[in-house]
Amino acid sequence: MYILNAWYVAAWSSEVSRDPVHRTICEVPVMLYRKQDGTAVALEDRCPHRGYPLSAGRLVDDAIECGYHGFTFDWEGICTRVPAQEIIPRRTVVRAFPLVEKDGWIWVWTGEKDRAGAATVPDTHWMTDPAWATVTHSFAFACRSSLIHDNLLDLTHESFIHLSTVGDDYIYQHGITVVVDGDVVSADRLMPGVLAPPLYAATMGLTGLWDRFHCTEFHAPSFHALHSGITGPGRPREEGHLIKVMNGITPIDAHSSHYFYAFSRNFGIDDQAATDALVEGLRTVLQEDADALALQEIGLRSRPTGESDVLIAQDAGVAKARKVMQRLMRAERTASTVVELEPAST
Amino acid sequence: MMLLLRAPAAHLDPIDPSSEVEIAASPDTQARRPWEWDVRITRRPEGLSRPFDGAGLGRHHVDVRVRPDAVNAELRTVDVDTPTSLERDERELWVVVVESGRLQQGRFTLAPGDVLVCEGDDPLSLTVSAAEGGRVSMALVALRRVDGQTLRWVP
Repeated sequence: MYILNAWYVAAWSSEVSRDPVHRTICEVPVMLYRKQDGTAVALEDRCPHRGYPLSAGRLVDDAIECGYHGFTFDWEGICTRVPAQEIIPRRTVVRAFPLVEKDGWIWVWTGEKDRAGAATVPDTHWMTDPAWATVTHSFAFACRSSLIHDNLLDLTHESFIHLSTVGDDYIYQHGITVVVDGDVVSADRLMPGVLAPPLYAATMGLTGLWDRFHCTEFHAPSFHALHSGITGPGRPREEGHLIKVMNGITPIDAHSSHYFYAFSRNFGIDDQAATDALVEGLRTVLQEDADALALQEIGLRSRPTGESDVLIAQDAGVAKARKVMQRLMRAERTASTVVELEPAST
Repeated sequence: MMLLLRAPAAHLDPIDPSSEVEIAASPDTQARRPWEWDVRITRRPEGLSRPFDGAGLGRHHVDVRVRPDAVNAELRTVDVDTPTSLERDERELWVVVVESGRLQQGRFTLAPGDVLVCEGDDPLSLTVSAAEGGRVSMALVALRRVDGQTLRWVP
């Protein structure tokens, strides 16, 4: 069961071209391509004729031609050609998904079309703001998406998993402030008078004691903006070295997830050495997360029914986010929104 | 741990006489077993309560129910017009409901209906003031275990 009335990151803009690309989102096969005018398109990646993936076909002008028997669909999913006969069966249509392309991200709405509002796509403007420099990574995590949400809302794991990059004992020694505002849950931690973590100290050129902070802002069900940084002792956050980490978490299925990661910084934006160090350092951080969460997924799959997580105060953001997700899931269940697709026939 | 809930009372339907919203409860699981306490905004108070119409809802109450063999509760009104430091015993859990005015707590501004829940040792001292001048009135619920142990809570 997934929350389908939501925007999910399907790809980076740079990944989508005139060569169709396949993605699985919430167990739904999706294909992405660009029309000749550059507009990105998202269609269900399954020909209604015999289930062949349309992304294995070829583009003919702005339409996709199935590589199996040549059924052709326009960018709205309407079949325009069946090579073997003149009459096009009424049900020969593929689902077209609402799509928003913004700041280098491609978002796809997987639910009811009339509920898709572009205004609810999360803010990612740092990606294209010239005052910020951005590093991106893409990962496929071998775990359910909820584990990634938990991971981002409880950053005390940095003290143990990311010791060589962004971790330190002082993280779990400081409490959090959790804010719940509608479907947004944030977990904020201020760590005054601490050393910068290894990865930041190197790239920021910092020594001595600073005020460090991070605030994970979860926009349920698919996106986290992590507002973090380091500022002078007692100084306002906005004066500091600021980092915006944007995390697009897109379920593939019940046990795996796409992870689209962008790290924008407002310091050393022309410093190529810093960028190179961050590319490598952040890849290490993400791989450490991927490895840990894959193990956690294995652990959970073998956990006896009825056992549940033992949450502590540091998990307050995790707990509240789970409740928001449960509420969204209940709303999804009560709305009669499930579209049953019948097997196609000619 | 401090938890700020933005106007959960705003979810109340002022027309429905049975409308109520649960602000915090322990244990905060679906089964609520073994039930120990809860704090609600409701039209039908059952425990320690005081009137509340902070979200423009008409007559409601902040209502605290406890299992008396487990938890003690105290409910009081705190009015703030100058910066004030509220000191919490580490063993206590506080639920603060803003009733009127705009409360400043650190970098947060709380409007009527917003709720703060504080537990554990961070922070023990809550420095509050009235944002934009004026006066703030809030309901403060203090919960503590009858056995003197620290009352811990995870939402």
